[in-house]
Amino acid sequence: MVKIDKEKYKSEPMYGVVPPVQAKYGVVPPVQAKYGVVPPIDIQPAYGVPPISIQPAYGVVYPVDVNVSYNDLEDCIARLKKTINTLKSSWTNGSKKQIARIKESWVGADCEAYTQKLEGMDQKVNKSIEALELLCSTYEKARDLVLESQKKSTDAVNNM
Amino acid sequence: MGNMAKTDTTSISLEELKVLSRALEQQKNSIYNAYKNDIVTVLETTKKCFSISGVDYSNIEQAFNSTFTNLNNGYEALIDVLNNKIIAQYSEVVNSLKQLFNSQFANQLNSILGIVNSKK
Repeated sequence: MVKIDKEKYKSEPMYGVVPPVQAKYGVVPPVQAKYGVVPPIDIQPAYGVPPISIQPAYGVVYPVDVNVSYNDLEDCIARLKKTINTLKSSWTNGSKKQIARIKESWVGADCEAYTQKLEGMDQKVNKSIEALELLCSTYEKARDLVLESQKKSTDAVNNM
Repeated sequence: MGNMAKTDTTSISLEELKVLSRALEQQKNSIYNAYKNDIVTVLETTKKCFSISGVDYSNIEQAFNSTFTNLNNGYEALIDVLNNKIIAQYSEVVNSLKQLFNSQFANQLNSILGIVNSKK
């Protein structure tokens, strides 16, 4: 009777291995995700906003796995950066000046309470701007990741 | 005024606060317009030019929508309190204070001081 070494011939699981590059960028191939193998991803929620769900959206049907229109994406990134800069310069500086002016024209316990609320809102605006910056940098990283992958594929084909 | 102790002092310039309230309103509008005109458009366009199967952008849109709506509502509440509670309340206080120093007060004061200053 032939004995089978179960340890030696133990089959590797078909699913459960997320390629390092995908895992690094939090991109889970649909097959792995389908079987519940999702690498942990740290997402810092925007101030005062529940964390954004990153569960794969099955049921949302896209024609292809990745679709990038670089020029349009560049326009989006540029527009987002411009808006962020506008918000930063006009709002942040303006708000600080306003709080200072209120404190100059109003003194008392009620003013303290009011400016505290105003400063709290100011912090929320700053965190919202921070969230927009995160979104913008994520678009840029995603674009770079696709371009990098494209370059590697091209090199692989050229080196055949 | 800036150097006055805040805990035992009340000092308020209502006209200046009215100006600041209008400035606050403009700032609130500017941030919400930036969201409505630019950020919403970017999020909408990005869905078309950069789609990844398995990533639902609607969560991101919803998160930013709720963030900027909350910011707008928060600032509206602060502006409303400034206009309709603080400025309105202190305006009434100013009127009440003026009433305290009315003609009746002047007559009473004159009457009292008249006795003090009389030559009798």
